[in-house]
Amino acid sequence: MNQTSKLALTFITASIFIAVSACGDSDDPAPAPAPAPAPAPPAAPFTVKIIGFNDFHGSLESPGTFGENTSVPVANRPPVGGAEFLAAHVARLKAQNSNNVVVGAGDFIGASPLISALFFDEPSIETMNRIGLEFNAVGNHEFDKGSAELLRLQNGGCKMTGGAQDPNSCRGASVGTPVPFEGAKFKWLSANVIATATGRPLLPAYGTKTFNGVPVAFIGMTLRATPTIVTPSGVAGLEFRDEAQTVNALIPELRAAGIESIVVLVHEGGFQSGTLSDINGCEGNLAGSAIAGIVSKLDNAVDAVVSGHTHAAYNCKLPNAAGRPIPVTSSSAFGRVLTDIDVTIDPASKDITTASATNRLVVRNDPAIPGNVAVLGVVSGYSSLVSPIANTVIGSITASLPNTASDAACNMPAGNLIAESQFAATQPSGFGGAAIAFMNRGGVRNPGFAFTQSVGEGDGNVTYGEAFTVQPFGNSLVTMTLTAQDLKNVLEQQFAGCRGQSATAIRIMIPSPGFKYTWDGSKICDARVSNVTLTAGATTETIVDVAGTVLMPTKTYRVTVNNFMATGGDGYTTFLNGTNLLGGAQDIDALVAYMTLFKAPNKPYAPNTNAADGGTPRINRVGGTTCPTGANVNP
Amino acid sequence: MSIRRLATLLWVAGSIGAVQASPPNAADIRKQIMQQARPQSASVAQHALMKKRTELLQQGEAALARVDVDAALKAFDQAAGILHAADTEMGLVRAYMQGGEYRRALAFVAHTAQAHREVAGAAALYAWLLYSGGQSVNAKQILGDAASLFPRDTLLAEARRQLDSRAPIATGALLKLPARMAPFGPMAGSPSASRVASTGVLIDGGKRALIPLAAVGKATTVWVRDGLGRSSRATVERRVAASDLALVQLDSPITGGPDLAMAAGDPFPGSVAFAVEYVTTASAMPSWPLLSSGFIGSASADGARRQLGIDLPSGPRGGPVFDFAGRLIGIALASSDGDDRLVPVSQLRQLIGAPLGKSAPALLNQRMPVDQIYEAALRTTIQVITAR
Repeated sequence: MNQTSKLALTFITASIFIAVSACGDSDDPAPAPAPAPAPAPPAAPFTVKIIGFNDFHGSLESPGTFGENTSVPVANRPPVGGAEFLAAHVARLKAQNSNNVVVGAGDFIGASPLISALFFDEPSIETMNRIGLEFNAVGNHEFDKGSAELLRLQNGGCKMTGGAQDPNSCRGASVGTPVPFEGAKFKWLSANVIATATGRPLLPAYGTKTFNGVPVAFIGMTLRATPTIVTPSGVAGLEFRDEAQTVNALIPELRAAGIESIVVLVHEGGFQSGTLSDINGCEGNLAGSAIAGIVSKLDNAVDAVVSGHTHAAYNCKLPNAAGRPIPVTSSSAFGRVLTDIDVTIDPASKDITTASATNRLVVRNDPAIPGNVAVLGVVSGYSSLVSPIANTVIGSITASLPNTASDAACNMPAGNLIAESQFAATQPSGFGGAAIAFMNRGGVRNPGFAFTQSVGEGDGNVTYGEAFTVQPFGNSLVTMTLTAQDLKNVLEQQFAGCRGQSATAIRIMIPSPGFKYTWDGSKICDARVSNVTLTAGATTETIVDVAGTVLMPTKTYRVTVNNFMATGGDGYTTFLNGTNLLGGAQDIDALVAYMTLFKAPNKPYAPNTNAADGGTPRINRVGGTTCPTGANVNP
Repeated sequence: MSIRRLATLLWVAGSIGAVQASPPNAADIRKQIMQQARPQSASVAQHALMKKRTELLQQGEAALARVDVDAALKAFDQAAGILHAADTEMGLVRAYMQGGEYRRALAFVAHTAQAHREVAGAAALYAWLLYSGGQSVNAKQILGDAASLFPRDTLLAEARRQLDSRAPIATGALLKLPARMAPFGPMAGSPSASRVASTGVLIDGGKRALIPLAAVGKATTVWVRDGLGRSSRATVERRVAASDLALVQLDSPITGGPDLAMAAGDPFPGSVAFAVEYVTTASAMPSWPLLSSGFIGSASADGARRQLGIDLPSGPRGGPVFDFAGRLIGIALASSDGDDRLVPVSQLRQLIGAPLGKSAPALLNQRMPVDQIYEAALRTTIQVITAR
């Protein structure tokens, strides 16, 4: 504020214009401040909503209940927090004023729960990106893993461990976020953290956002005492300078750039006196605290301070160096509270003239504020990944089993394994009594089963997480009775345009061991399939002869498919003819159970070695060079 | 002001008598902190506040010891409003656990352990809770990291020894405040010489329980206690020899928990499952149960007999087994042939009938996070305590 001492500038034109940039002479390749397009601010003062919080500490999931003060009975404290509700509450506040900015006061990562910490806090960054955080001070915990790691989290890319990508980094493919890790879309600010090698701030000192042509600066800092509370390796090569002196030294630079509205985001704080700890209280005015000491030395140009570090909530107005009270806020920790600050900006002076702050609980029980589904999806994804079951080895393989065709007939190594498992799961009389199983190739997802380890399980080992990636749909198995004619028909139905199959899709199923057939793409519908045989033990039965004739059309067989196929999915409407349906295990359960046969000390699974196959492929073809996928049946 | 360092100093000064490792260079840090953190003008008020904080911590611990969770939370919350300190946070963590809020406790102790690295007990408590909830790999990683900072710390070493045993029991230093690795659970009127004989499952809204017949023996009464430290005497109502289980009725129902969700059908071989068991001990000390994960084992051709398929430390079992959605799919029991077996829910329903409760709706693919399953299990999984 201090309008009389500030420049009063006038501009021409423009309604609402918002630009964001970060700057302040750092090593970070941040863009220069957005050039002002010379818009003219409106004549009347306008408000900007600043939404702030601090000390999130990777709290993707609710930290429990929280009261507005300690006098609220435990039973009456509402559930709060969780990234999806933080997102919803931020969105609600933003909707109240299009001139808004979301800021943080540090410690958003580090000292975080397993769901974030295990993945190097990438989940916290990704959720903050989706919540819309724009500027964030660094806190002491941002340096827990060192400045290089902080820069990676800012700029993106995968964590390297021992020269290789760490298996717990860049897991976006499993949670719906980009791979490689996208990095923070918000700007971490570190005005008082100097890289000693360059003498410049490690990250931008401040960021600016322009509202109605008026720029507002956000200076970000951590506590000067950070080196005393972080491991030496975390702050190696860095110098942490006095907070107030750092801010005051920046004021001339900001003013020279035409910036009069200045907000400080600082990871330092205090406590209210007493034990009530009301989130909107300021009992004792934080007397004797570090933050009160900092504010008392701040230049009068600073308009508000968003603070943190102590995990305390308060809503204060504390005197600056000129004795003028300015807002000083903190919103507890762990995403339990948001600080809602409305500032009024005079477009003539470009300065903040008034500021009003309110701390608001991030409640989870307000029907008017449902959680953000997209953010919840990311959190749920990481929740699955952190499950102790995810990295459990279920069995071993001797070679990669891709989900692509291994020959022109369309045999598929990964599909073979899955079809075997489904047959094994449903062969016992109590589980279906199946004689044959078919797997649709579209249900075998990328990349199939890789021999190379993915999470340190050892080459050749298959984890539950990997298996789930290949079979993520949670389909259940259905065993049904089909006639021999049905079998012939459904095999003919695999080809484009035949028996109602799509004219542009060829869907060759993968059969279980011992079931073999031959197809010829040069022939017409219903004439392509021949030589269908079923081997069980030492007995081989011919179901369709080499001429394509069904020998005993009404003879029945118990056949297992997944519930998607059983209901006509992928165009296999013949399965709708099935009778005596028996529901069974989920496909993934069947696979896990089967893989136990190939878990150490047992021998690993080797493709194409099932005794029932007799060393020859299950699917055979006359002619052709490539497994077809589209309208061309005979490539 | 370095609040955390001040907390460390207060801690080392033995504010509530804990066993902890001294932080490195404590004397120098103390001098530095005293100079930085206590302006002369505020020193008197600060001292009074710190005295108040100590009183609040003592109040909180006393409330926890009598299982008055609300009073404990209030005291610890007020202490937290004075200082951001590890001892307060560990008190809060254990209060959350005593109240059945595992997920909240786990998230908070994760913070405590990492934000207060100078306090080895915080890491030990974090590791213990992780292990209890089935995260054994990560628990040992946490302990290993802490041990690299405090290689001679006896608390960390004992915690590691216990976790490596696969049947950890908190005794001695592991029961010292504030990093106590067990709930409180006073049992007025219980036999003076008693032991934790097995695990059981609370059913029928907390009015009854299923426990292994082997644990009951010829006794007609036993004591049961859940993971929140709530206990009751229980009388044998029926012995169900066909399933090697006994149905007992609690004198004082343990209520307030969510209804135990039952799977509508039996699990298939290979399906994900979570077994929850207490460690059996020669005394009747309260403890938190342990969750183990795995895949249901093979079934006989008719599906009647099932291997558990989850690797558990030795013991008589009796604990619940849940599916990926947190529904009860059966009870784990030891078999004479050495293979643990599952008494599936269909068999339980057939043998027990109505008291077992209703089936939960089938929620295809709706997976419940493991920590949530464990949190619910704290209220349904009971220690079975018998006279020695």
